[in-house]
Amino acid sequence: MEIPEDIKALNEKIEKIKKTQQQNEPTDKHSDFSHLYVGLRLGVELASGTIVGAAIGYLLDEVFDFKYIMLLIFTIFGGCAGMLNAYRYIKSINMDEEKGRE
Amino acid sequence: MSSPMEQFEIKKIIPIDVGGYDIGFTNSSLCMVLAATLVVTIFALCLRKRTLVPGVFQNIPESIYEFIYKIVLDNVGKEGLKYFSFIFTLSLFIAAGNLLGLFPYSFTFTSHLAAVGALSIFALLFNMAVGIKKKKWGYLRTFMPKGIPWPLAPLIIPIETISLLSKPFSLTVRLVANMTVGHIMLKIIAGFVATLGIFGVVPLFFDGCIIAFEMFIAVLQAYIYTILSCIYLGDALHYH
Repeated sequence: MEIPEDIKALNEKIEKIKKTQQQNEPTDKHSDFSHLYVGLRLGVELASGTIVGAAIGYLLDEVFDFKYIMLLIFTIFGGCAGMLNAYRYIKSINMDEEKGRE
Repeated sequence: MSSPMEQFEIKKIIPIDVGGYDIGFTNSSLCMVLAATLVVTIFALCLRKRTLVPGVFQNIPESIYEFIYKIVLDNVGKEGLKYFSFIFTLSLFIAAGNLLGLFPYSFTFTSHLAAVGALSIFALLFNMAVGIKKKKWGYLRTFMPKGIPWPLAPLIIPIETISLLSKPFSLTVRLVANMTVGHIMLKIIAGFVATLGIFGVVPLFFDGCIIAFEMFIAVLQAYIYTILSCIYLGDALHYH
């Protein structure tokens, strides 16, 4: 199907506006709100790792009757997993920033 | 005045019992059905008369489609477009659930750990299936990344497993906490409207502002849920 002339003109207009919008975009995209989001996300990542680890440990104790040894071990593992997730998130932000600079 | 937590109570509408298991149709189930029906109906109505240059109504579903398409493309890549329909359905269902909960006498099913948790676990299983399909046995590398010495395996494997399992948990907690807190705040402030008499206009004004803010939060949380699901899907496809 051939594209009508008026649609082509409209497409050119849209592309032109898109270009000017891209040029006018601020270079520093990190507002206070995004910092708050990063903080909240890190908090959730740290806490969720620990909670999931503790839950797995508790379940293992319940099933195999380990007398809370698994709860202790897996809470520590969970804390480590939470820190690992938080570290990966921060790393991904840094990589995005570097890409943005390039 | 009723408790602010009363709005989260599950009430049975049609009790169904199968082999000792309660699978009754509740107010939560009703809202889920309503959310799905609402999305399908709006899309069907808006896309009834399709033209090359979209009109106002055709623009609504097309903009949503393009927006989510771009999220999938940016976060998963072209390879992820195969799974676009899954992400699209998931995000629309959550957005509709969040927004539907703002109507009076409605129920916010996204404020329940069980409902959102089930969706997140389903998304995790889906991501795992996609990863296993693509990398076969190589998917096990997720639990033991390259370059780590083998003696460290007893430490790394449980940590990586918990790291993977905590992803749906953090997704769920974020959405549920946001929805629950917003609705509790609305209810508490609405309680002051009745008790303060003529001065009730002040909390009424605040309640109006919070409802507008909650609409923004409802869409934002659906967006965050979508973007994180895409990132986790991208991890399953490209990581290690």
